[in-house]
Formats: sequence, C-alpha cells, structure tokens
Amino acid sequence: MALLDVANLTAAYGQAQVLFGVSLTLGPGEVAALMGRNGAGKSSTLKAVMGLLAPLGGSVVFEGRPVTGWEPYRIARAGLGYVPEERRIFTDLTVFENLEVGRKGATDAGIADGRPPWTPERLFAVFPNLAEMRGRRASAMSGGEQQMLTIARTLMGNPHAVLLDEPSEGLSPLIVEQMAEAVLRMKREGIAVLLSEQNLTFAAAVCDRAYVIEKGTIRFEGTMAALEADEAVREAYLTV
Amino acid sequence: MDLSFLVLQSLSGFASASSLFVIASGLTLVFGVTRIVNFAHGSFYMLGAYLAVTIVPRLLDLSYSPWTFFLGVLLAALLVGLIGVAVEMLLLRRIYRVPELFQLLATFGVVLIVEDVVLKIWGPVDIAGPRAPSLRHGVEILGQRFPAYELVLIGVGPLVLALLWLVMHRTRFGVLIRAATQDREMVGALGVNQARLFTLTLFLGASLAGLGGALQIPRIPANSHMDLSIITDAFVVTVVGGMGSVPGAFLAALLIGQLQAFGILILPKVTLVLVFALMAVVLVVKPWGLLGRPDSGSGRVVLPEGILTLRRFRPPEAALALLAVAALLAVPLLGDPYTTKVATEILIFALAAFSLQFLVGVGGLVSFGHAAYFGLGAYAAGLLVTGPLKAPMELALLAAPLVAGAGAALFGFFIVRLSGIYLAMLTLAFAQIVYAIGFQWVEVTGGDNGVVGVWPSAWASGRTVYFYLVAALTLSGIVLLRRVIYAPFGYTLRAARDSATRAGAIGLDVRTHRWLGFTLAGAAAGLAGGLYAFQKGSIDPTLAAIPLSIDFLVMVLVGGIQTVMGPLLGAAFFHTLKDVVMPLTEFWRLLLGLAIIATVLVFPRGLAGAADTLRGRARAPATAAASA
Repeated sequence: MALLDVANLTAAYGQAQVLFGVSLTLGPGEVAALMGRNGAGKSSTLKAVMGLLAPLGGSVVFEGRPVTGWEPYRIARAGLGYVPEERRIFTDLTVFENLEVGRKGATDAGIADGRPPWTPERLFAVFPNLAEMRGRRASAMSGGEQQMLTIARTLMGNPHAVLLDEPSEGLSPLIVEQMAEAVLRMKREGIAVLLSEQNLTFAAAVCDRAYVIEKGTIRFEGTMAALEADEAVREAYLTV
Repeated sequence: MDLSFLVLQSLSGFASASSLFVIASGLTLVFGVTRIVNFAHGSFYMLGAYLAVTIVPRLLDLSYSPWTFFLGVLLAALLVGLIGVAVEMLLLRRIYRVPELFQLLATFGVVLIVEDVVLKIWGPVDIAGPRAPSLRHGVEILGQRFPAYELVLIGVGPLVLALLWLVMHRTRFGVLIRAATQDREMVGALGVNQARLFTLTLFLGASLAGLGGALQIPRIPANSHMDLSIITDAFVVTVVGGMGSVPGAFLAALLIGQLQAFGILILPKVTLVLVFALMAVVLVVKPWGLLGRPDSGSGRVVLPEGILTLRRFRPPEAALALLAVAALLAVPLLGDPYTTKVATEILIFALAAFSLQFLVGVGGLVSFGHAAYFGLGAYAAGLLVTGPLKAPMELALLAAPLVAGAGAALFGFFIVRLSGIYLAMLTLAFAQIVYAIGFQWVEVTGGDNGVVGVWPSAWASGRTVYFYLVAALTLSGIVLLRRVIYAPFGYTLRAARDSATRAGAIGLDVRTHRWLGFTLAGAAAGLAGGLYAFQKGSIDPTLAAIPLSIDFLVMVLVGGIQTVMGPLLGAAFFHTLKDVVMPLTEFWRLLLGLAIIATVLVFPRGLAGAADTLRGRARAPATAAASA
C-alpha cells in the first residue's frame, strides 16, 4: 500500500485555479520527483497536500488515513514533514532553537520501524557544519547552511515521509551535492521523499520515480530512467 | 530648576515608563504572534484595575502586608489572563485570516462590550484602590520626598523585561512565540498547534495588561475611561518600539516616559502632542519602529480589501439611485422635524463615510482616525463663527474643507510613507493629536465642554432650508468624489492599493497620488464636519475622537467595503439604528459591540457584499480564507 496517496487534487488561489486533478503516490522509503517548469503547479501540489493551500476537491490519504483539508499541524503530526522552497528559517532564532521548533511534543504517528528518534546531536552528526554553529543566529548563516537547517528542522519531527520543495534551487554546485547526499541519507533512514524539482540531473541522482506536471495536471508518470529516455516528454514539459 | 528636581522628575518618568512597558509588552507579544492589533488590550488593563480594587482590599482585611497587596495584584492579573483566553477562543481565533481592518473593528467591539459590562458590575463611580502597606510614604532622595510605591514601579518594568526574556529564550513556549512572530504558518507546518499557542499567548498578553492595570490602583482610581486612554499610549509604545519586539517596547516606553516627564515642564499644554509627534518622527525615519523589522507577511491569506470591480450604474440602478435621492429630498416635505433632523445627519455622515471609503476601498489606506478631519472641519467652522471673527456661516463652510484638507495634507505627508498596520496606527495617532488639541487648548477650543452657539446664517436657520443646503453640498461632494474614483486618478489609486511596487515600476508616482487622495478625502470629511457643527449648534472633542472614527469605519464595513455606493447605505443604516436603539436601552454599547462583531463574522463584505455573495455563490470557488 502506498504511504501517500493523492487523488484528483484540485486547488485555487482565490479565483485562479492552479491544480486540476493531480494524482500521485509515494511508496514507503521511496524517493520520487515531481518535475515541471516554473508555474506548472509543483509547489502548489506540495502545499495542497500539506494543507497549506486549502484543497477544493480530491483526496490526500497518508498511511491509510484521509488527511484532506486537515490543518497543517495535524498533517505534520501524522508524520508528513514539509521543507519549503524559500527555506523559511526562523532567522531571529539560533540553530538550536530552530531545531527545537521542529521537535514535536507528542507525535501521533510514533517513530518508524523502531529507529532511534532524531535529536539535535544525531542531526549534528549528519550535518557537521550545523554542529559548529548551534548557538549562532540563523540570520548569520549562508544560504546552503540554511537549506541544511530546514531539512534538519523538519527531521526533528521524526517524519515518515518528507515533502521537499525545490531543494536544489539557487544553491552552488557544492551545496547541491550535499543536498543530494542529505536526500539519500533520508532514504537510508527509511524516510520516503517527494521532491519538486526542475533540475533533471539532480532528480536523476536521487529519485527512483518521476511525475511530470504541467498546467496543474500530471502529464507523465514512470521510472526516472524512463523519463530520461523519453525525449518527447522532456522536450514538451521540462526544457525551457 | 535644580538638580534634585530634575532627578525626581526623571524618576517619575521612569515609573510611568515602567507601567507603560508592562502593558505594551503584552500588546506587542500578542501582535507578534497573532498579527492582530488588539484594541481590547485596553479593556484588559481596565479589568485588571477593577479586579484589583475588588480583590486587594479583601486580602488586606485578612492580612495587612505588602505581600498580600502584591498577591492580590497578581491574582487580578491572572484572572484577566483567563478573560484573555476566553476572548481568544470565542472571537480572535475566528478572525485570524480576515483583513486587518476587520480585526481591529472586531476587537473594538470587545472594548464596547467590556465597557458596558464594567459599568453594570462596578457602576459609573470611580473606585479608589487601597495603597500598598509599608509603601504609603515617601522616600527622601536628594532632599526631596519621592513616593516609595513609584520606586517599586520603577523596578517592576525591568523585572518583567527580565522574566519575559527568560520565558522567550529558556522555554519551548517562548521559542515558539518568537518563531511564530516571524512565520506562524511555517510553525504550523512543523507540527505546532497554532490555536493552543495563540491561546497561551493571549493568556500571557492579557495577564500583562491586567498586571499593568492592577499596579495602577494606588495611583489612579479604577474608572470606565481607562481603556481608551491607555490603549493609544500602548499603541504608540509598540509602534515606536517596533511591533512584536519586547525590547523595542521597553526602549520606547523609557523614551516616552522621559519625554512626558520633561515635556510637561516645557510645554505643559501639549504633552499628548509631543508623544504623537515623536511617533511620527520615528516612523518616518524608521518605518518599522526602533527595533521592528519589515513584515515578511508570509503565509498571510486574506480576503481582498476594497473595491474590485468598478462598473457604472446599469439603467435600473441609475433609476433606483435617482429615486432614492428624490425620496430623500422629499423628507422635509413629508416627514416631521425629527425625521428631517435624522435625514440631515445621515447625509452628513454619508459624505464622511464615502470619503473614508475613498481612502480605504479605493486607496487601500486604512485610516483609523478619519474623525480627525471631520473634527478639524467642525472646529474650523465653529471657531470661525463664534470666535473673535464672528464670520458668517458661508465663510465657515468654505473654511471647513480647506482647514481639514490642509490638516490632511500635513498629516498625510507622513502617513503615505508607511503601509499596513503602521499606517493605520499613525492615522490614529494624528487623530489623537487633533483630539488632544481640542481637549487641552481650553482657552480657544473650550476644552472638554467645547463651544456652543454655532448657528447657521439667518436664511438657512430653518430646518428645512438647512436640510436642502446640506443635501446640495453633501450630494455634490459625493458625486465629485465618485467622479474621481472613476477617473484615471482613481484607477491609479487602486493600482497602488493592489501592488504599490508594481504601480511604481510602471511609472506611477504612488506617494504623490496617495497624498493627494488623502488630502481630498480629508477635505470632504471636513466639509461634513463643518455641516455637522451647524446642525448640532456646537462643537466638542468627541467630533475628533476614536469612537467617531470607528463609527465611520463601521458605516463603510456595514455598507460593504467592496462597493462604491455601499457606504451611503451603511451610513443610513447605522445612523438610523443608533438613533432608534440608543434611547431604548442602557446597553447600547454592548449591542453595538455585538453588532460589529457579528458583522465581521457573518458579513465580512457588508450588506451590499452579502447580496453579491448570494448571487455569485454558485460560480465562485471557495477562497482559501474560508477554511480558516
């Protein structure tokens, strides 16, 4: 059974509809990409799944529970993590305090498969540069360091799956490499990841499967290898 | 003026700064997390004082010591915190996603309700509190006596600051508050239950207001005017300090405390003006206050504010409008003198409300002090007629819009440099300046009593003739303003409202247009004010006071903020209702407050908007706001 099952999701900003029936699934421990151009509906899909954009119709089922229309905090507590596109680090807070916000007092979902829960110390082992600046204000961090902090912050909630919005956007090649490493690390920890992406190279490096979205509708669904092989789809929906 | 005098003056400045900070820190915390500017914070402060004068004497009867005194004060503060929780759960959590203007009005509804409740429970007479045991006497400082209680107060401010710092940096609750102040949506996406966080924040904020009020009881008796008198000061402190910043509020409170302590020596008449002038200067230099930061505004989903579609009258509507005007003009012929009086007032308020809608609905400039210009017009006209000049009514009615327009031009120069909530607060501050001048400059304005004998010229003194004079002037004013809305000038204002940066990018001079628009609206309100002075025959400071500004906003809100002509309907409806209901009940404030809250909750788009919604419900997709 799929961990996350999205069916016919529709959503709008005010009068402007952006999602026209998006359907996709994410299996346990799987890394899937939601690819598409700017404005195709990638971020809106993730936001609608997370409850940050109220869905008009369709359904979101997570671990067998329908979570459509739930408030974001309940969806987060159900075990679905979210890493936003613009990082949205709490710049007034220290690195340590940012992690504290991500910690959940009481998670409904529990920890997956008896793995140890995430603690700041465990995260500092995964992201060594964060360890050196735990008392530093987040506003004094570089963009790449902030991006690592957003992921660490979300992991503090011990999610079973993570929605990762445009992880490679605006980062230097070196940081993109670290980001890819972080995604693969989550996979090794048994966390499923649905990431939105424009960068095919990055997606191909970390993802098993891919969806292609255009004008709020899924146009392609298949393995990453199939997408790489399908020049027509890439030409039609991805090439800028 | 020797050294010891200056030191003592400065100490009393520190004492009032301390009290001010305790109150303002609660306001700024609540604003930071909920983004609601809570008018009811003044009510919490007042409730703190009333509860303290009730609780503390009983405790002192049991055990007469300073400890029981302060125990009673703390108890009062905690009770107010619980009242804050109730307000959050019953009202605030339903309005987190409605536009700021509506939130402000809804919390003002709470102010009205609490005022009536307090009058019912504690009666209209001021209640003096007990003085703190062992702190009744003075302490000798540099050869002068200084009240011991004031010294304690000086210590309370820094103590509260230190405790708040500990809470904010050493507890999970505090870390969440700071995170939510920056980006509450993200905090929610990380699994934090915002509703509970907001409730707890309201508890903390309301407790601080209650503490501030309870601490005042040895200094000032509990009275039913405490709420509005403190709230403007608290607004000024939070705005000057930077909204959401606790250290900023501390800094601002110190600054204002000293300014008041020494300002009263230099310019005893204009202490209030000094404070608001400081605020204007700070906001022009630092538009987000001393320690505030630009509002990221992330994750804020609101209904559109203002007029969206600007269509002209269709033939049946034009006929309806003409019919309405004809019916109105027939009132003096058919109705009794009382109806004529009410109709005259409705016309006057319709012009005032229409000019406010011009600012809010077209310009996106939410003015919380529109009564300032109404009041300026009324005072200009009234003082010209009764003052040494003994000017005729005609000249006075010419002067009213000119003086109000000049005032709006002066204040508007500062106001249009700001946006959002800071702009609204500055309009409020300027209105308080006008109010303060009317109230404090007794020799000229007659102070609280105002000036009587503002009568029209002989030819216009009959009710019917005056009605037609008012009708001619207000309808011309409305038609003129309407033309401006439909002219390119109005389109520019709407473009700037929807996106000031984009309007600027296509070459529109946003600031100048807004400034001219503000001046024009001020002049129109001034004309209404002048007409009202002659209608009433007198002027007094209530014509520039907060409640009248709120009345104007309610007229716009009830009429429908997204409609051009709605405010006229709103003025008629609201004034008639007030005129009918007020004499019938002693609880009219309570009813008005409930009505405002109900309007915000049930008809966020007003009467005219509600009709639109019913028609368009089938096709329009539900907005994200509906899920809040």
